[in-house]
Formats: sequence, structure tokens, C-alpha cells
Amino acid sequence: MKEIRFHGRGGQGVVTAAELLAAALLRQGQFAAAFPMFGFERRGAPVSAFLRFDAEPIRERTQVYTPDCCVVIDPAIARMADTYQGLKPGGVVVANIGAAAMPAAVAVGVLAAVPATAIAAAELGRPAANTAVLGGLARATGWISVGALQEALADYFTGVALAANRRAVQRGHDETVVIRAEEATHAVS
Amino acid sequence: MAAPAYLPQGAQPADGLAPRLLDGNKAAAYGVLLCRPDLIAAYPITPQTPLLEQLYKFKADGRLTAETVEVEGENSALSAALGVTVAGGRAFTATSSMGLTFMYDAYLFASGTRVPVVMVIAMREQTAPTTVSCGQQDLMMVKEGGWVQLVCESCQEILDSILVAYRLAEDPQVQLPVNVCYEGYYLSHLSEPVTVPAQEAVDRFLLPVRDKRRPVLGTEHPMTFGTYVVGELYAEYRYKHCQAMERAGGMLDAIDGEFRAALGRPYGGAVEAYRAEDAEFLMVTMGSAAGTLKVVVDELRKEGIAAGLARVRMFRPLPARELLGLMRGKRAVGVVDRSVSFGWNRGHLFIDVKAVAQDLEPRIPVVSFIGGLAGTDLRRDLLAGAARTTWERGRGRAGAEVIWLGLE
Repeated sequence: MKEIRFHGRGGQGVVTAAELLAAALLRQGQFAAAFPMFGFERRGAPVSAFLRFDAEPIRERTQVYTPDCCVVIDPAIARMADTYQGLKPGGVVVANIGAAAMPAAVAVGVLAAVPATAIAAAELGRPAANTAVLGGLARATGWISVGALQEALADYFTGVALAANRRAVQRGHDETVVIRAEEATHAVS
Repeated sequence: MAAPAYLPQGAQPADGLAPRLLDGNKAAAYGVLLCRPDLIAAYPITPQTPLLEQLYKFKADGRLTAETVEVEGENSALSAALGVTVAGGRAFTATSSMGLTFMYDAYLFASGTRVPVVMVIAMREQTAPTTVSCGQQDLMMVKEGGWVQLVCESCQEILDSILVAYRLAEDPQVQLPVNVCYEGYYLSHLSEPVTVPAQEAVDRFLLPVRDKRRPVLGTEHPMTFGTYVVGELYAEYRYKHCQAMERAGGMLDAIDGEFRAALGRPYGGAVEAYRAEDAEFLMVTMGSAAGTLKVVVDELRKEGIAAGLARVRMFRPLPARELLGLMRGKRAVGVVDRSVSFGWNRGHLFIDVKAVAQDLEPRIPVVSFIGGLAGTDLRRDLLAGAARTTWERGRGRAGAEVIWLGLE
């Protein structure tokens, strides 16, 4: 079983990102369960979401404390070391920041730096960086294919928005800078 | 005892339909859609709101033919649903927390007048202090209200329970309102694979209640609902209400057979037993924590500790006979509650389980674990700790009767 924790702010599509990934994993024949954790719904407030996937049905109904991967959609939150609390040794970070902005204190196995805000601005015309970040996740982990993500997008978007988000996923995949352990240490030092 | 229904371990549904990703609220909405209701009257409240949004989307798409009423509050929501139901229709409403409090008199009217309406409770803490987070306290505030209450562990079970709720409520032998309860966020917002059954299969399952063989308010046969009653007649109402509750409890196993025949998989009985038969001690809970506890039970078994779990699916009427059977021969029982009974200062399900355990000979320790309040996480380590404590109590170690998980 893999565990992923999503971070961002209300309005950035954190919850949708987790659901989208779960829907895409389902298309790949995996069992997946995702849920968000927030209080009163308001834009700008920190939001977390949790996703588990496995070849077997998911039974745990708890938050994720030792993620295999952290997906961070908000750049300011991505710069805070606390965000990555509990990340497994050698774990994956997929973040909407440049590689140099990754906090040095975090021991990252694989860092995927996704220029997601720029992609979203260009493709969607607004800073909804969630779908581009998922493209970066596909690139860095191989857990999900771009094709499955693009199929799953049809559950959430139609028409122009669907086409734009599909481009954002593809560009997220193509433009992500992936840095593996040793290089990552070098890049952030 | 029915087999665990929600652990398909990769099993494919017999009707060949592929599961899709739905959260608990959407799963409930699909369940409602498939039951072809005549009326939906509800007032939005966190965390139930997305359920209504999905129903209104069905309506906008032309898939749901029910009349929808945007009421000014929960009391009117349930009252409208009651009106349509006594007139022979099928109605649905849903609420949570303070919304449930606000409809309290209508809630009691529904059961006392034996109106077979179905209502979702997306479970949430009760004020005060104010919060919109998950808890089971709202359900506990109405557990003595005379409704049948089903509590779910998974999104599939939420959908299925809506179907079962109408089948049960409208049966002439029962004719009681039914709550389908699931925890806010942990289930209402949990997205997981759910199989949406075919309409024909659901129609087949609900065939026994299609003709609504119950007293129906109409101009041709005028009658009164909810009259002023005193003395012996009042006692007779209560007596018959209790008898109907008894029958509702007994019917769930029979309905499971019908469910299996119509939908190709079991729904399950009033209590789900998980590795309970050869267990040395038993954990008891209801709702989402049961899933995590199954993982804990498996882990303890690997260590050679014979843990077992009883998940209460029908909270009212309480499946006392089933629980007693499962507890017999165990050394200890630990009950995990996401609610608090003030005065008892224990969990609500604990109080029920302890009452049932009085019939055991010899007596065994029963421990109350309170946790998960206001959306705090019933983490695996906390539940494993509760299970270990229960195991130790069964082996003679003394300790407090109530333990607050994560606080002590």
C-alpha cells in the first residue's frame, strides 16, 4: 500500500487532486481511497487530503502520518519543512516550487519540482495548479499514467476546461524537473 | 451471523458493473436516486451538503423525478417528508448535528406515528463548543427516539443501506422511520470504489414494498395521524412500537437474503463479526473506525494475540442477542465510542454492550474507550493500544473502566 498526503489551500483544488488521482488509479485496476480534512470551508485556509492505494481494498479510515509521497500545491506551504513531517525515508516530494526552494532539512528521496503555477496560468488562465502537479507525480513515480489521469479528468471537467486541464497534466509531466537522492541533496545545499 | 459484506478482496460484483469512485455523500445520493423517491425535502448543513448538491444535480439532469422542496429549516424538511409519506409517497431527507436538533419534535413525531421515512445523518459533533467536525454525538442525542438506526463503515455500505432502509421502513411488519448514519468527512467525504447497482436490480429488491400496504391518508379514506392520546391507548402505542422494533431487528437477516438474490452480493446482518469466533477478546465499535480496527486485529493476530471485532451495523434496535453470542467465551470486551454520555461519563455503545454483558456467566471486564471526538483521528496506534489494554484486562490486569484515547 502506498500513502500520499496532499497539501495546499482552500480553493487550490487540493481535494479534487486527491480525488482525481484516486479515480485514475481505479482505472488502472487499483483500489484507492481519498479524503480531505478541513474545518469550516474557506478559501486560503490550509487544507490536507489523504490518499491510499493498493491491490487490495483499503480498510484504514485514518489520516496519513508516514506518507510515501507528499504532493504540495501551494508554493508557500511547500517551502515549510513542517509540511513534510513523517515522510518515509527515501520518500517522494512533488511540489509546486523550484528545486532550490525545497527546505534543506527535509530528507527527500525523489524531488519533483513542477512549475505548476506557470502551467496553470498559461493553460487555464487561473492559478489552479492541482492538475499540473499530478502530471509531475506521474513523471516522478510511475504510479499512475498520464493517460489514466487524462481519462479521469473527464469525471470532473467538460469542454474547454477538460481540454485545458489535459494539457496542464501533460505539461506538468513534461516540464517537471526530477531530482533523485544524491542530486537532490546537492541541489538544495 | 452474516459473513462480512464489505471485504470483497477483489471480488467482482455479480451484476458485472464496474465500481466507480464515489464519496459517501454521493453514494447516498445514488442510493436515493435508485429508490425512486417522490419527494426530497432537506436543508443543507456541513457535512451533509454535497449529498443534496448531488441530488439536485440528478434532478437538473432529469434523472431524478422526485419533487424537491427547498425548505427554510430542518423542522420543515422532515415535516414535509412526513406529509408525503403519510399520503402514500416515498420521501427522503438528510441532516446533521444541529440540524437534527432543530427537527427534534418532527423526529419524535415520525417514529411515534410510525411514518416510514428514510433520513441520512451525516454524523457530526454536537454544539457546544461549536465545531463542524466528525463525531457520533448527534446520533446519540436521538438514539432513544424510536427510529431504526443503521451505521455504515464504507461508501458501498452507505448506498446499500439506503436501499435496505426503504425495504425495512416500508415493510408492513415494521413501518418505522429509518436513519442511515455515516461519519462526517471520514465517510461523507471519503472517495472510494462503489458499485452502483442497476435500476432493475433495485426495483426487484424493493418489490415487496412496492404496493405500500400501510394506512395512507387520502380523501377517500379520511383518517387522523398524530391525535391526542391518553392512558391505556398511549401505552398500547408504545407497546406496539417496541414490538415493531423487535420485528425490525429480526428482519435484517431475511432482507440480506433478498438483497443477495436481487443484487448479487450480501448486505450483511445486524452485527458484522470479524475474526471473532476464535478470539480471546473482542473489540466492539461502529462506523469508520471498524475498518482501521480490522487492520489492527490482523496485526495482533500476526503477533499471536487472538483479537476479534464485532461491528454494530444496526444500532437501534440493538442486536443484543447477536452481541451476547459473540461475547460468550471471551475474556474481555473493549468498546470504542466516538461520543460521550454525560453522567455515565462513558461511551454510548459501551453502556449498551455492558448492559448486554450482564447476561454473561462468568462476568468479564468491559472497557470504554472514547476517542475520535471533533474529527480527531482514531489512529491505528491508538486503536492498537485500546486492543492491547482490553487483552491485558482479560488476563487479569486491573485498570480504569473508561479510557480517553489520545488524552491519557
